[in-house]
Amino acid sequence: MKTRINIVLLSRFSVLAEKLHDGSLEVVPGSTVQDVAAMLGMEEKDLRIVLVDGRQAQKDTVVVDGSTVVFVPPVAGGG
Amino acid sequence: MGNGYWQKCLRVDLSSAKVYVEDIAETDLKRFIGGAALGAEYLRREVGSKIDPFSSENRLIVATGPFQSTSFPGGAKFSMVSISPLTGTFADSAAGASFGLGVKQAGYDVIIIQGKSEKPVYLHIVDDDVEIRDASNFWGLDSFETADSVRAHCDDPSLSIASIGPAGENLVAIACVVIDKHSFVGRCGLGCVMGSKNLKAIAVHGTKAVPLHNSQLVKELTKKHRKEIATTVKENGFRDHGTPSICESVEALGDMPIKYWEGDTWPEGAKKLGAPNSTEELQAKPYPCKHCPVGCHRKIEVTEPAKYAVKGVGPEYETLGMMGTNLLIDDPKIVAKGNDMANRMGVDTISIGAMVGFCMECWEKGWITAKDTDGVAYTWGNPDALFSLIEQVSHKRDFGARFAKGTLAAAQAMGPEVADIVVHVKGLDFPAHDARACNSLAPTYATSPRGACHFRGGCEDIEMGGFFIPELGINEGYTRFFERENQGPLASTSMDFFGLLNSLVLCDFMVDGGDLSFSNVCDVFNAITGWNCDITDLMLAAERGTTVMRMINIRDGYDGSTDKLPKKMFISAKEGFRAGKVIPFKELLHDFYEARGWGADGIPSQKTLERLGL
Repeated sequence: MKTRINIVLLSRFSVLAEKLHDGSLEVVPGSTVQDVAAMLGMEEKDLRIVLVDGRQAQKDTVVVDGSTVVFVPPVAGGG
Repeated sequence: MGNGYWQKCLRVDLSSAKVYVEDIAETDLKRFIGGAALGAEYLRREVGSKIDPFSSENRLIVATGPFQSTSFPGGAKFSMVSISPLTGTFADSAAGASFGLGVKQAGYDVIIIQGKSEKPVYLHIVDDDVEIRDASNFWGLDSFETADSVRAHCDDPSLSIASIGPAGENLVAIACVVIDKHSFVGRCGLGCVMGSKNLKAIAVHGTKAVPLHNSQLVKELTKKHRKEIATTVKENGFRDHGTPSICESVEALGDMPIKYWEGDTWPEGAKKLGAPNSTEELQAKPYPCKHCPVGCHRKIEVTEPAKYAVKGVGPEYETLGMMGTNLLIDDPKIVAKGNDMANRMGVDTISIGAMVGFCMECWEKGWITAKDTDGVAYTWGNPDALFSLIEQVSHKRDFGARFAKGTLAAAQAMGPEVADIVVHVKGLDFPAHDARACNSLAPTYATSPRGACHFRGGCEDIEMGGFFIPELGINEGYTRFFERENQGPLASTSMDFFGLLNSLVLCDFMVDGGDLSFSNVCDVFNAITGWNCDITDLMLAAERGTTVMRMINIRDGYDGSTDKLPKKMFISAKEGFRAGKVIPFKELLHDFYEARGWGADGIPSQKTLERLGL
């Protein structure tokens, strides 16, 4: 059984959307945030702030079917 | 061999129309480094407590630091320091273009302007040739026209020009100083301090090179770090998209102002205002200060629709926040038009955006009506309200005249209930970052010497994962959103660290965005000065500077009892990332005071003052 999650890629991360289908991604059950990021081709250094269902997640947070995962580009130069 | 300083201060007395050159003691430079901190020390020595900011006693201090002696990236800046008409106490604001370099190359580390001219004048500085010239013909021009006219009148395209617009002339408390038509001494109303002195512009050009301790090493480090910073900002999008690149991120984290701090989320608005959308809509390109590989300022061109046509400097994140989501305006072209109007009139885009947001909330609550506003509807999202208030405030006429002393003063005149909705500290409107999202901003805003100011910390970018300061123990995971641990110490450390950048007069974005490390900064500093300082020495000097600013605040009537946040900062979001969260303000302020060695009354302890040699 597969797990389908919704992915939101903000700002410069939007270029990674090519692997999404209608804004979602199918992953194997038990996948973590880090696994999902790797599937999308995201660099490790960019994986600093991720929200899962509106709350901050860790790299090892397991995503579940129907989760919404938001990848937030780190904020620098915020003046 | 030199040390990157001339050790010279140019003093201009507009009352007597005389200019002097004075020595600056090397001990003062070693204690305060330069920029905002050195300016603060001059202000402490020369200006009494609670003075009228428009009096001839007030100083307008232009201060450079060691980095202006080089072509190091981020070194084109300078600090302007004075007593603010908005807050009644210490103020500094920094800008770039090439003005800071011009001052240094003319042979001065600091320019102090005092007194008042009887008629409009401008200051013309080319090396040792310093003249106070008649500016009667320029009075009434907007800030851009002034720069063009002064340059043409002097027939000298090499001049860097600081000018004011109608807002500064009319003593509007949110007036800014415009540098070469694309960089801004934006905050705290320093443009109207210029106006109060009848000083319409300062034009500067220099041809001198200040001796450095090790010029060859400075040259090598400059080349190396320029290349590294250029690579970093290309990769992270900062070069191509500037500060608008953060809009979507900060909105997602509840950090962006929405509906004058009443709204919780507006992802659609942030997406339209942010990058890449606004980059494309505005045809935005980097507009760098001299020697800068980042180019955070934006050069834009809007041709359609004609009513929003703009060619020139475009809006940055703060303006997109305060004139955009703050007002429920999601069209970057409208913000670009408002930004251009404000720049020409010479008003701070942050404070005017806050002012319009305040008016829109008053309209919604029925506290103002069309009778008050000359028929303009201050409904959320209405661009006419934005355009009208910029114009009216700057000319101090009609409805806008009420706001000549700032949002807080206007609200207080309407009654305490109205004043309660103003989002400010010390009378300075919040910039576009929400302390309810990044809690380290809470003590930062509450205690910042110039009022609500994110540049007194930059800690929000650390919380949001954008950069770290490993040399000071601040690494990824140092703080966690909404958790008290380390938030107070982070606010304290970053206040000094960013204070240091303002003393070196090195643009924050070389570090925060360009990934230049503190160790790199220290190495360049030592190559310039030969003072062989380590990070601890620099942080001590920085803390000394921020403490002098605090002591000026205290002299002017501020202390722990005024270290407060506005009421809205204690209203939780109903949805979004910060839903249900409340700032543990009392605890954070305690932790912050403790980290700084301040007493429970918010006053630096005797032990702290002795440690700092104050």
